[in-house]
Amino acid sequence: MKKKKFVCITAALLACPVFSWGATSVTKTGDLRFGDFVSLNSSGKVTVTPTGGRSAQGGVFLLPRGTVAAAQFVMSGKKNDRYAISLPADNTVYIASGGKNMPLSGFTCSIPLSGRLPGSGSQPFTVGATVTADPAKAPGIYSGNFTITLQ
Amino acid sequence: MQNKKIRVIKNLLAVAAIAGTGLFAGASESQAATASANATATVVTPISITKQADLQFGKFIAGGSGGTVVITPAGSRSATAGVTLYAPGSVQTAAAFNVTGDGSSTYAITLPADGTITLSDGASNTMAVSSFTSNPSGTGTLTAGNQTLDVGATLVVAANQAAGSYTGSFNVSVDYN
Repeated sequence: MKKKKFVCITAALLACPVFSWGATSVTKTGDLRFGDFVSLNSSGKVTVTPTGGRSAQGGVFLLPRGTVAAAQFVMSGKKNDRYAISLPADNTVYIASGGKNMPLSGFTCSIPLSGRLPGSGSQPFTVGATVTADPAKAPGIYSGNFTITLQ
Repeated sequence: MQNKKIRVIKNLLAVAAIAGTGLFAGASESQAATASANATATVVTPISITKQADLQFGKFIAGGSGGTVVITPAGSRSATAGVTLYAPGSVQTAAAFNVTGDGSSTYAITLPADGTITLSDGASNTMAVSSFTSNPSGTGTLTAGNQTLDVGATLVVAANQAAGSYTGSFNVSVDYN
């Protein structure tokens, strides 16, 4: 009988890593918004940084209007839980309008992609990305969804 | 004794199996934590401006003192001081432009600054065009991606300005707000 008790304690120790492994949930609190821009006669890119700044490269002209924002998330678990965030790979997510689409690439995160949760057990973070427009991209409101994974 | 030992080992195996299952379940649960966000971008039709009609001050007679000829954006003509309007065969119009772009966007209108536009008779005689005005003024608003922009100005005529046909050109630019 004494030996049985010992076995139970060993089992509890074995189970311990199960409960401290991984932040348990992630929730979206804001969407990614590239705002309004004009597509000129050459290819161009619009980048929104995790801090919500916007810049253009090549054949796009940014208009000072429309909402510009990084996507916002909150992950939660327990203090010191390990987390690892996976962002979409380049050109695997498209935003579309009618039959036309534009790829997203260069997803970036406001916090390190892996680490531990703070004392509060809750960690907000933001995600930016780059959208690429073909020359003279057809006007329209382009929309699509992307998924991030938390381990 | 022998019997007891076997039982203990059995129990230990059973507990180990449960712990292993728990580990597996915990790992797969954390892999399922995902969140989706929406991404949007609005590609806007470029704004453009096309001339529909030229600005014409028409015919007038310069007097012994200087004066001006004014064309309003609506196309009406008036004269000041030493200038006398001459109606026969005179064609006077405001300039007209067609602005096209996105939906019901607003845009800023930039007219030539005073002192930058001059008409010339091809010889050495010139007249300045100043005080450009427009309708709409300052800011335009497209309707279904379209708006007509009318532009008038003031022609500055010197005393005894030499007779002749004077021409020049000017630019009007529009930018999305």
